[in-house]
Amino acid sequence: MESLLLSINNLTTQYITDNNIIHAVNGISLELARGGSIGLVGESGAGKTTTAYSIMGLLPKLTGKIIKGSILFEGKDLTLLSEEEMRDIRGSKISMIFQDPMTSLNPIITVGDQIAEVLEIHGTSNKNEAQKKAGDMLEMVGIPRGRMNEYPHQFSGGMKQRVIIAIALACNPELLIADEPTTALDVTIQAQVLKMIKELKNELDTSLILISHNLGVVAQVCENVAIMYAGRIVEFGALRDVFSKPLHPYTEGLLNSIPRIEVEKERLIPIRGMMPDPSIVPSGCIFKPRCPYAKEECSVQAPIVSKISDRRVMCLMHEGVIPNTMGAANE
Amino acid sequence: MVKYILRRLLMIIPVLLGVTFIVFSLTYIAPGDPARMILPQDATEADIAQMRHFMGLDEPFIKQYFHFLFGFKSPSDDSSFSYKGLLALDLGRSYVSNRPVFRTILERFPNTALLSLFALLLSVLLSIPAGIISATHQYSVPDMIVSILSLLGLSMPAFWLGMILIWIFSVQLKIFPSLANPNNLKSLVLPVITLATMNTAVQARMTRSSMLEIIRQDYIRTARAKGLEEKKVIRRHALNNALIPVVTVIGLQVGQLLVGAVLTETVFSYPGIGTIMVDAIQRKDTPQILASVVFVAIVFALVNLVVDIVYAFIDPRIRAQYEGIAKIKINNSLGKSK
Ligand SMILES: Nc1ncnc2c1ncn2[C@@H]1O[C@H](COP(=O)(O)OP(=O)(O)O)[C@@H](O)[C@H]1O
Ligand SMILES: [Mg+2]
Repeated sequence: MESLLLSINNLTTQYITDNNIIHAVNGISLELARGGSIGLVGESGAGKTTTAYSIMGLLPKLTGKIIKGSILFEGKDLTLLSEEEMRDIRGSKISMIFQDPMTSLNPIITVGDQIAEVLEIHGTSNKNEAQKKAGDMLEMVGIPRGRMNEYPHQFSGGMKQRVIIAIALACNPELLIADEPTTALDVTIQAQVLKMIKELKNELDTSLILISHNLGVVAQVCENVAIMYAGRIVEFGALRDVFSKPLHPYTEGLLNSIPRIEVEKERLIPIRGMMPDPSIVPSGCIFKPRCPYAKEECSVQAPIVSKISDRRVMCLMHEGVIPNTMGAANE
Repeated sequence: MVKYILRRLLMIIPVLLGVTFIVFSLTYIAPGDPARMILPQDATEADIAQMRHFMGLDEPFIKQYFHFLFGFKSPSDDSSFSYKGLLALDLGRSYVSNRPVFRTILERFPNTALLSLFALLLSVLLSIPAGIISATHQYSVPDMIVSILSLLGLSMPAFWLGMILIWIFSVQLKIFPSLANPNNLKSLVLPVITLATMNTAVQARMTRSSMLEIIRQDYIRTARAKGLEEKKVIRRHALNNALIPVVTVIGLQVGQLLVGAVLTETVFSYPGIGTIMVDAIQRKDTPQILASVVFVAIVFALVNLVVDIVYAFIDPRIRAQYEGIAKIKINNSLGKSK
């Protein structure tokens, strides 16, 4: 049996600002096996980045707080670690790639030094060795090591993202969190970078959480997918199960909004409505205002997680509270 | 880079011409007649007219400006009214002391430089750490103290602050002398504080706001995600980037510093360029006024050139631009020679 690398239990993260509380992540649970990969998918504002920051311990100091729950990584609860202990993990055991490569590198430090830095932080005490390894990493992401002494402005967006991947993977982490790694890139470059992430993940045997608002992107890389809506994971399952038969109306909406070549244009149906205000705690199901299958019960009773074989979903249709009209419509 | 520096040095020349033209015009239209001031009280109108002729003051404005640039040969036997002109760095002798004006300036300038450098050093040493602490501990008590102090510093005119300091530390407490001279370090304390206060305030605010902007940048997050200690995140990744605009401000402030030096030197009767200028203006000593202004303008232009070079050292993007300019120039000249 594969061992568990990461287990998030009932994680609740809030941003506490002057006049209100933003409920960014509301009691999510997620498990990632060693070597496994999860795609975390949801619209902008769903709480994906907040989840990643909670794991990394990078929440904004003054406002971001983990209110409840635990994040077990190799058996240790990250939420209980001190800042120093977290620093040892960050960049070495858990790494993160960010959305915008254009701004994620320091403009006045050479890319070689920026890669070498993470090696030096995590134990490569010898400067020459760190430089040599940094060159190796550059080559691994397909950039000639001769460009080590160049500055970020001399690289294109796609190449910058490769440098950032090199930084993230330099210490051979157990877990890589990639937060919208290709969103800011050209479509053609997107595919290259995704392919590289997938290949390196397999080569280095790294576990992966790939965050995207695009289910299509996740489909190219991940085994499992977690659909996130308003700070909740509304559906979780193996990628092919979720794709072939979504259980949650929101997942269905996301699937319908992926452009697919074989399906004619008219079938592209965006999900109507908008994400709810994250500072208000609703009664009932959070997705109800946008749900095409909603019944009156949905505004009264909040759904809990239902397990259906090895899948999970949060919807009253699967608790037997209201009839499951979604499956019927599908068949 | 070397080419860039040469180009910038050449560019100083038109700037200086503009500055000198303006100052020359101002002294020309200002009331008062230098000839009358040189001659004894009982001089006749004829004496004065002759003196004006000897000094070249009876010539039309444009001709006088040409003299100023290219030199003037006095029709009198007394060669002290002749000079070789600005282009030969000779503007003649002071009407008052009869010494070559640039010699007086070169003698006194080190004093002003000393005062300004101390003030700059003090302001940089205080303001940059203060700005950093303020930004990295936003809304904390130290941040508020820095903010209040810099607001106070900004609102205090140098001459007023100088006089208050004299009143407290010289008159009441008798700790520091009220007259300053470059050979007595203790006497420099009050003028240096006077001169540094405004700059410290401006630089601290600049450092704070620049730092606040930089620590929100994505690459700071990248540095944190590497597991770098917060202190080192600030030192290695935020500081250099945040200092780029601060360096500009410091460069511009050298101009402020020279203006401040005029006031501060006057308040503390300190023998620098500032007191030369004030004396020269009071006595309508035109060559001395012109020479002082030209000199200050040169210093200012050179300092700003140095600032731009420092810039290029901190920021590879700017360096690349200079190298780009050089490359384009080389390419152009290659193209032409073909
Ligand atoms: N620093 C912050 N302070 C206050 N609210 C925040 C902050 N960062 C994110 N949020 C809010 O938290 C919610 C989740 O945001 P985020 O995790 O960035 O979503 P996603 O990455 O899925 O787009 C959003 O409503 C967002 O506005
Ligand atoms: Mg996000």
